[in-house]
Amino acid sequence: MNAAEFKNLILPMSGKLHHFAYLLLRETGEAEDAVQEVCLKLWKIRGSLEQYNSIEAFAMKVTRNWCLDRLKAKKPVYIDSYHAWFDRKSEESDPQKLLEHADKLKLLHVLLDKLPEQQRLIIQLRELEGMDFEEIAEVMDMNINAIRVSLSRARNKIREEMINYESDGYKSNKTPAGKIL
Amino acid sequence: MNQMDISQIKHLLAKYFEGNTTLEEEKVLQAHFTEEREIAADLLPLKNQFMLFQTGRDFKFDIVTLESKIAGQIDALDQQIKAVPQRLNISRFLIAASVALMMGIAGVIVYQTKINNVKDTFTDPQLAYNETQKTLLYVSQKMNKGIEPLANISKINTGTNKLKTLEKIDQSLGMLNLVSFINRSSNLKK
Repeated sequence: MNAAEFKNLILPMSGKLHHFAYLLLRETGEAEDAVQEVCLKLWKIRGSLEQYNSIEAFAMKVTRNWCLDRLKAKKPVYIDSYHAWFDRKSEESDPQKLLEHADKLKLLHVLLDKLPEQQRLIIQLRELEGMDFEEIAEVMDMNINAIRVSLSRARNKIREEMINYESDGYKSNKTPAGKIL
Repeated sequence: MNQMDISQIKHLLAKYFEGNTTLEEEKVLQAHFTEEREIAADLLPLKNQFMLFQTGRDFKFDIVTLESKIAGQIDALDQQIKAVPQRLNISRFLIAASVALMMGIAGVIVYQTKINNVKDTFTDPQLAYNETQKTLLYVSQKMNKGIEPLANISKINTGTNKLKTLEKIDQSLGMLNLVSFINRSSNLKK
């Protein structure tokens, strides 16, 4: 595999890897470092990449392991640059629309934060990245049944949270996102 | 939206919350909650959940700089790899060249020894003599045939003989020089 082929393979998935790393590390700069490190690791073993059914799932798994090691090594810095980044972006076009959009994103992340890490990652992989169960099993090092159970719990938990959010009158000004951030 | 579809959606939703839907079934649900305008009242609370995931799917980090950073790193590593085997390639080339040279020399030697070892084709000397005579005769015949057309070369000489009359013209032109004397003497008169 030469450099051009490798780049064609890896660069299209860097967005996914970054978002996934972000969910674990909660900081865009850290997530970028993670993706770069993972890409270099993959480059070193580029000769044997083709043996994997889904290179993307394998890349996600490497990313997950790298991030977990990173988290073990030091406490993550909880500067939420994700939202800072989004707020900066939101000045650029229709503010009303982007505000709504930003609120929803904040809400999504607040809800995801209430889930245990495993469920949060599975929701990300399934709902946002649209991966199949085999791929998720590869990334998470779990069997498919355990993933179904975990996914079911996560979906139900989010449903409860959403219903609470609607009926608790969060709607009036104070979103949970507003409270926390 | 008709009853049939609603019961299908409800059936899918039950599977969804059990974690048993396929990706295709989940796409049906996503489309229903994010695109359908009329959603059954009892399903309405779920709309936000699906809308939320849709927002998450739509969101993309700006990773252009990240991508170019990664591409740059890969290229740099690739250059390093290419730089190392280049030295190896030169020595490989030298080895290949010397092997080729040795084989060439060996080939020439073999070829020359083959030429020197011409083997006799006749055992009887008389027969060999006859054969040689025959061959030489044949060669001389062919040579004569080639020389025959050269006999016509003498015709060129007959052609040049005719050109000798030109000398007479030259002589008479010399006579005309006398005219210039007349001219000179007429000048003196003046």
